[in-house]
Formats: sequence, C-alpha cells, structure tokens
Amino acid sequence: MTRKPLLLPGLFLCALVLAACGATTSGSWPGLAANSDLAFVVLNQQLHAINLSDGKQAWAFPASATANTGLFYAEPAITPEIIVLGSEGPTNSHSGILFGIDPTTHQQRWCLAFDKKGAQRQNCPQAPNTDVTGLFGIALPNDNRFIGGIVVTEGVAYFGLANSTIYAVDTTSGSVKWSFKAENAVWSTPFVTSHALYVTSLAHLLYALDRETGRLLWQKDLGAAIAGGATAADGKVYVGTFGSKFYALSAETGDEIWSQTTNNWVWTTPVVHAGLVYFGDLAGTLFALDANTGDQKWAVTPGGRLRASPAIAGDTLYIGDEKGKFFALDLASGAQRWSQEMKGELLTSPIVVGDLVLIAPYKGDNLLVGYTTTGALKWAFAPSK
Amino acid sequence: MDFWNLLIINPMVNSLLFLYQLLFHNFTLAIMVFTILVRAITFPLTYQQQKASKKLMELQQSNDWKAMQEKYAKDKEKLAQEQMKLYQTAGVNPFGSCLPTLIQFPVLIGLYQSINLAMAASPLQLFSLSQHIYPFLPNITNLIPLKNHFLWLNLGLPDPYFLLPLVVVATTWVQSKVMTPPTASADPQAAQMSQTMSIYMPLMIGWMSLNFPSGLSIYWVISNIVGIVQYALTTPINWKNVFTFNFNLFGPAEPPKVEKSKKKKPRTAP
Repeated sequence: MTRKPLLLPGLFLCALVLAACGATTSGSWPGLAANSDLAFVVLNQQLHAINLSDGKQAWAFPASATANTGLFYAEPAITPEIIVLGSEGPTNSHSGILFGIDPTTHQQRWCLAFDKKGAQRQNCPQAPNTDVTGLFGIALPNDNRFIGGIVVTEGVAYFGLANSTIYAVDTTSGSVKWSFKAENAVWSTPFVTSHALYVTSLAHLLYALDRETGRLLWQKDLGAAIAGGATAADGKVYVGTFGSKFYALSAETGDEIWSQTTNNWVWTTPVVHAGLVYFGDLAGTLFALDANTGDQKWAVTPGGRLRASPAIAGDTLYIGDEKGKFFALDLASGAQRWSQEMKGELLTSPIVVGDLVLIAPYKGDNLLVGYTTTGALKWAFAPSK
Repeated sequence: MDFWNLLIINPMVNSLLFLYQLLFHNFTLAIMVFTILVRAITFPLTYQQQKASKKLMELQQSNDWKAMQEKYAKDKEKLAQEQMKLYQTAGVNPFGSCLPTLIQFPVLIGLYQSINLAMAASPLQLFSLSQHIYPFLPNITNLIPLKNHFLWLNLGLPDPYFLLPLVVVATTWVQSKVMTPPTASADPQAAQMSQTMSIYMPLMIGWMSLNFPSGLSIYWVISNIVGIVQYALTTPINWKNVFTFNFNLFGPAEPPKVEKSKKKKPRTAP
C-alpha cells in the first residue's frame, strides 16, 4: 500500500466530521400565494407559477433553477401589475434581494439589493442607508434575509427583513419610499390597513406604523417573541406570542383589550371571520374566540402542532399540521368534516381559491397539492428534477 | 421523542438557555461556560483515553514489540497472537482508548448541535427549538430571541474580519499537533495519516468557519483550548514538536522520531 491513498480516508474522515457539524442558517418552508388562475409557490431556487386548472407549471422565475438569484421562502405578493418576490440570497449569504417580476413576460422588471455584495451580484441598485461599516471601513454583514412575506397595496410593497428594517417600496420603480428600523428581526408578513401597517418583531414587539410615512404610531411589548403576523379588524389588532398568550389590542393606541392563555407558543397569524378569531398553537390546539371579548367559542386538537394559519371558505375552516395531516373543520363547532394525510410537514398556510384548496407540504413528495373543498385530490405538482 | 433528543439535546439546550439567563443575557459567555463545563464533565473519559493511548504508544515503541514485529513479519496470524500476549503481559488494552472516545463523541456532537439550535437563526431551527424547551423552566421561552451581538460579531453570521476563522485554524492546528505528537505511532503509514489530518483538518474547519455563524466558531475555539489545557494537565507538551511544520504529504513518510522516554519501560514478558 502506498502512502498516497492514506490521504483519502483522512480527507473522508474530515469531510464526515465537518458534514456532521456543518451549519446552515438558511431554511424555511415553502411560501404560497395565488390569484384566480395561478398558484405561486416558492421553495429554494425558484418561484413556480402553477395552473389551478390542471396543476401544471405555467412558468418559473428564474426559468432555470441553476440561476444565481438566491433562495426563496417568503410568500410573494401577487397583483395584476406586478409580482413582488424576496430572496434570502445564496446559501448563508444573508444577502436578500427584492425582485419585481412582470406577470405577463415573467421577466424581472427591477430589483433592489440591501447590501453591496447583493447589488454587485445581481446588478441591482442598493437601498439607501444599508451599508454598515466597521473597523477600517470593512463592511459588516447584515442579516438581509426575507423570511416574512410581502404585501402589495396600491402600488407599494410592504415587508420586513431579518435585519429588523421594515420597508415600503414603490412597485413601479423599485425605489424605497420609506424605511423603519425595528428592534430585532422581522419574520412576519405586515398587515396593511387603510392608514396603518401592523408588523411584529422577534424582539417581543408589535409596531403600528403610518402607512404613508413609516412614522411610528405606537409599539407594544408583549413579553415574548412574535414570529407570526398580526391581523387587524374592527378597531382591534390580534396577535399571538411565544409566551403562550394571545392578545387583542386597540388598533389606535395599542392598549390591551383582552388576552387569553394558550397551551404553547402561537406562531400562526390569526384569521378573523364573522365576529370570531381563529388561530392555532404549537401544542396543536385550534382556538375559536369571540373577537370582542376573547371568550372561547370552541377549541379542538385535530392533530399535531399547528404552525400554519387556518384558511376559511364558506362554513369550513382548513388547517394543516406538522405531521402532514390536513383537516377540514366545521366553522361553527370545530367538528371534523374530512381529513387527508400526506407526506411532509404542513407548515405553510393553505389557500382556498374557488373550490380548490391549495396545500404546500414541506419535505413532501409534492411541492403543491390541490384538493377540492370536499376533500378529493385534484392534482399534485412536483418540480422536475 | 427519540433518545438522542431526550438524553443529549434537550438537557444541553435547556442548560445553555439557563446559563444565558444567568450570565447577563450574553450568549458568547454562555457558549464559553457551557463548553468548558461539558468538557470538564467528560474529562475523566478524556483522561482515561489519553492514559490508554500513552500506554499503548509506549508498548509499541518498546524493544520487545519491535523484536516481535521482525520475528513474525511473515506470519501475520502468529504476530497477532504474540501481540495479544504482549498486551496482556503489559496490562494494556488495545481498545482502551476507543471506548472513552466513543462515549465522548456523541456528547461533543450534541454540544455543537445544541449551540446551533439555541441560536435559532432560521424559521426551521426556531420551530425545532420549540420542541426542546422544558415547559417547567420559568421564563426560558421569554429569552428568545437570544441577543446575538458580541464585540463586532453577530453570532448568527460569519466574522467579517476573518479573525475568528484564523483563531479556529490556529487552535485546531495546535490541538491536533498536541494530541498526535510525532512519536504517536511507530507505524510510518499511521504517522503519515496523523500528519495529513493535522494539516487538513484545521484548514478544512477554518474554511468552514468562514461561512459558519461566528457563535459556532467561538465554540470551536473554546473547545480546542480546553482540549489543549486538558492534555497539558495529564501529559507534558513538547511545544517544539507542536510548531514543527512538515508539509511533505505526498512524498515518502519519514520514519517517526522516537523520543527517549524518561519514564519506566512497560513491563514485558520475561
């Protein structure tokens, strides 16, 4: 035996140890959005636009999965004029990019970077005041990932970054309208009303910002991290925290109106419908509370842990759990109407479009599955490898 | 709940968070103290392993061993039998250094995974962390997210000045040289292997730490330093050997330099 081959087992051992200990900070579940014709699902390198009629891919952005546009997890915003999509940059780069995509040509119309390396990589303009320099003028890294989703209203895209900045960006030009520096990372999708923007931060805070200017209207410390979004309705803002608490606050002042204790962390964004507020917790309990008083109408534990928010259509509530079980429940009582089990974890909130329920399993055989509202499988989509 | 999480990850994650709470919400301090504590707890195993390795090494450098190798060079079966006899006579267990290592390995991997998990830098990691926190520990959940800034470092991101990766390379290099001195094996092939590892391992870990969250790089550095100190407590370190560079990896291996041991020779069969 020559000595040279000894290098191979040595290097193999090194690689094994490093692979076992390797760390990546990328990683989330698919992001899902839809309009009346197409479903848009993002995971890893691409946005897939899927025909709702047959579950076939209509187009993808970028067209090739090998393009260096970064990793996509955050739910995109879909409007007839533009699709706005955020990436977290290549693996471990934390160098997110905002893309404006033409819904007709499926090509990039503009992009916006949040650090120098992103601007150079994608040849994008850089958002103002995003360079953080340290000793000797060396650029300090910032966590510019898109984790929360994007909302577009009246030509403005609203979103928060993991670097804790909340932005309003003009969707025609891709230029920054205003920005607001929050404390700690923003992992949730903002909720936009006619005059305000409600955004949660991991630093236990809920912010209300002026929609036009980004000025802080009020902020409320809720004592524990908030990773899910807030929902505003009828003068109240509803939000759940990792402190196993659920709150209704005044939308005007942020004062607490009522609160309820849950069985575990709340990560779902609440859904308000017909005077009730619906949300789940990581103990697997789904709550229906009176939106005005916080009184419990019903609570059920259909399956495993509930990360995804529920979707409501007609008199049925749809929700998926971590174990891959999907449930259709009676909205009035929480009684189960039907359920389906699929491979993967259901961490992405489902969407109902007409008579189709869209489910995006994480680590499943399919990236997107379409069920009828009666529980029959209509189609399943898996990207070609 | 699987045993790995139940016995290794959950206690470690909760201890780490508890330390973070205790140490002024400074995650770097928590990582340092926790790494030192875990390495201290596993020190008896480390010591056993080092003792067994040393004993084995001394035996393999003895004249009896060499004479036996020469005598039975062409009869592998007989050689194996004689080796076993010699082990028994000298009171050496050839696998004595393996068992403590096998026990320590999962603990160290668990320590690493726990630090990574507690940083919860991605939604999947945070979702996973939620399953590991003991519900009976007061206020632990409210600590999330952990404050991840220390000096110029964001513990969830790599060091922009590359200082930490350099320290990772240096400490890994020193530790590997300390643990595998040139006298570690009488077998030239094994010596070559050790030499290869002592060069490639620090470089590979250093390269990885360019992309690691710096919190994990801090763990590597502290773990390496504790490893060196623990070794120094039981065995005198020949610093001259530590800083001897030999990059002749692809050429023929030099015969290992055998140090003259001042200690008593191991007992051998009459």
